[in-house]
Amino acid sequence: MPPVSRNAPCPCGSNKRYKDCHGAIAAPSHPEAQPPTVDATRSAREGTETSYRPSGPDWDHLSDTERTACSILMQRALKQQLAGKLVDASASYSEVLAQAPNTHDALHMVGAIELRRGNLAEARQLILAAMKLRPPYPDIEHNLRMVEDLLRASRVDAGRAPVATEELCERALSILADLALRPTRPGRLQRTSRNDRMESGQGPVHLIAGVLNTSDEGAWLVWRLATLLAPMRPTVWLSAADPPEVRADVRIRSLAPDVGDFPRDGRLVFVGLDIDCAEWIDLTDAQRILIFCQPAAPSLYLDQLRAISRDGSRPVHLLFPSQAMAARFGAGYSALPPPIEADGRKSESVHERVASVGSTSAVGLIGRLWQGTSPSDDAEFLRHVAGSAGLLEIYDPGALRYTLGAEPAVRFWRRGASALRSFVSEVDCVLHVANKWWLEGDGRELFMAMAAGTPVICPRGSMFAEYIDHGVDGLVYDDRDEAIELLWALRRRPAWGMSLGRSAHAKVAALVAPARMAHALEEFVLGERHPIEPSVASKVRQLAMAK
Amino acid sequence: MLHPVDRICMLVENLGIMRNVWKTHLGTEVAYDPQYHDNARVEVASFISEPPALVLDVGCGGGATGKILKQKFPGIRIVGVESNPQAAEHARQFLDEVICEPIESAPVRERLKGQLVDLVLLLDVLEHLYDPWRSLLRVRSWLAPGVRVLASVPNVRNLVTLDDLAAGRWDYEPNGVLDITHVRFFTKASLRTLFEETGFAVLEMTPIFRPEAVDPYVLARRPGRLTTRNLSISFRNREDLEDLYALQYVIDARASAPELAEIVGATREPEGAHL
Repeated sequence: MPPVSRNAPCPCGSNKRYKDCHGAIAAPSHPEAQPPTVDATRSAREGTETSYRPSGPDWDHLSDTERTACSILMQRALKQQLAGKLVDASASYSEVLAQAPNTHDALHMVGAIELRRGNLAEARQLILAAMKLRPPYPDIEHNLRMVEDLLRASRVDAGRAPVATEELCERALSILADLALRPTRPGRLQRTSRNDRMESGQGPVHLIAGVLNTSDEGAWLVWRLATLLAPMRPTVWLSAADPPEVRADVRIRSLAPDVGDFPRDGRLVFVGLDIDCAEWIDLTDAQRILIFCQPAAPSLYLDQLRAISRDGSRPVHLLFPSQAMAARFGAGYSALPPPIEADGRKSESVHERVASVGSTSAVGLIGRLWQGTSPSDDAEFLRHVAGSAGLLEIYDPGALRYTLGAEPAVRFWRRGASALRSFVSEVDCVLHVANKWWLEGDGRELFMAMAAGTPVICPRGSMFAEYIDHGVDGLVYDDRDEAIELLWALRRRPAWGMSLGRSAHAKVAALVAPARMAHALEEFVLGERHPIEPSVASKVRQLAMAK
Repeated sequence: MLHPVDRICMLVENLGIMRNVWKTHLGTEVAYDPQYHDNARVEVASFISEPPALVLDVGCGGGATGKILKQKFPGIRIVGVESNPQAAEHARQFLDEVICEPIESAPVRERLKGQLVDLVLLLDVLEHLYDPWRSLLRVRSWLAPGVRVLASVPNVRNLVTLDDLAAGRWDYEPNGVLDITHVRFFTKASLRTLFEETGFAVLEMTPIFRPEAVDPYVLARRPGRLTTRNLSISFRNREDLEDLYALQYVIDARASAPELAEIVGATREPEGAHL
């Protein structure tokens, strides 16, 4: 059992503090492949020549020469593992095991590598063998739990096609919620935040945006948050050497942990999860850690949240773009719609054009989100869509160029920072698709369409379906046939589409009104009370009805 | 029972290693190969939304791309240029006219007789030319300012090629990025320069992906860093990551203003064959 405090002595009897001994957090590129032996890990990371020694009697029967050889091999293996060279690391560990089959750490690590590769049965055997040699400690217990959970998840799917890592990880998110996350319950939060305030007053706010959200269109969320949180004077941290745009109103700093440039304290607000923080997150003394959970692969959630929360030793607060997504992590997490700018309403002239053309309507599709399972079925469906509407317009089409490039009734829009706005206002409706929740994007396109007065046709299983009232401000479909029927109906009755669009615009304008957004975000960042109303949808309905 | 040598040959073939590809795919008489010359570029057709009246398809091969364009936009005219006589012969059944000559000497201006071209296709052509610069100048000299050019060129900075090179491999193949008939190699930046220096304005460069070809090479992907079997490489942002995955770029360019073209063209426009 780990001790209550990470500063307490380690139960292994080493006289070190738990956090410096078995509770240490290595720099894991993948949490389950975390090397356990602190000294060796640290020396491998720092490149110093402290040699590896097992912390138990694993090598007592070896000669000095053999021990040195094994020690060098272990060190190499750990280095390889930390560098992500799993194949090489596994080979090096196997060499150690050939000489000393009872090397606990080598067994554990090969198990962790097999887990990473998805060979669950092997991983389980190896970790169990390792556990026979030592009393249990948190890392190995976690790894075993993960293997067993994934095994259970894969048994549920027995008979179906082999499950991809992402899907297994998705099912493991519930473990993550136990391990790493503390839902923000109103009562708890009151206490935490009062402590926060008493201890520190209002610490600086850091928006940590990492590498991927810099120069592409996804940067909108970072800059939007910076604008909305401007009264709190946030610092934006980017890992790119050259910030893609310089803004007078925002302080931009370069995230460079190797030269000591990273946020040290205050409120850390992570924008998205595609951020490499393993190097520095342990060294920060943050008052409050918040994460804008933009859709990311479940494996990234596992990696990043475990690192950021220090394996559950400090609370993190999550904000999701919808309740449906938050619910995957358990009860009690917050949700807020994407903070888009709700201006740019579709002009009446576009409506008139639609009314006059009547016979064809243009259905928009965000191609990037289209991650179909069977390309031929998908192509067939999309041809139907084009046929039902008269014209299919695809924004950021990606691989759809291959399947539909020769279709006369399909047009393609390239991705671009300003293109999205014209796209969503030029089409007559937007068809949303959702095969996997983590591929659905952050909902920006969908909300921008609604704000522009373009109705959205959304699958019921989508994590954004909760924002749409079927037949009032958008349409919800159960299967593809129903989607096709809805498209036909919209084409026959352009006036219906226009009235849906007007309601959609009113709803989004109320939902993401800048003052309301800024207030909700400020509450989330300061943590002064339960940040975001649990049921955005019902709130929105009230707002819409009041209008 | 197979002869041991045949078994080794089979093994080598199964491993995907083509030996002696220069013997079969290089030389003065390269046979017309439907799989190679009849590769319909559906994804390139996706870049064309408005029907162009007259298309010049330079390197039209067997005319497969022209065929799908004619299906997409009935009534358009397509003139092809193709140096391989068999491929050109095959293309004649789909295109309105085929000039069977290399780009360096094809009498395009003469054969067009003043008709205005709306769109030039240069699909997988430039990397096969010893002097793509002068060839582009020549193409430019046929065009009015503002005429659209769609070109596709392989991206040599893709993970598959990089990983192989890191391991010391640069194996020419019958097709793909390291097609043995390629004589020039470009990255995104050098492609842009190629067009900009020869009288074109580049509007957009769209990466063409085949994730299923690249993904198996990626062992680990962390924020900002990718690891393959032989290489660990950092990427700055999404564009940079996409560049590593891009096997090709589709360049959407326009013939630039006449002053520039005249200045550049006056000094360099080659007459007759130039190689």
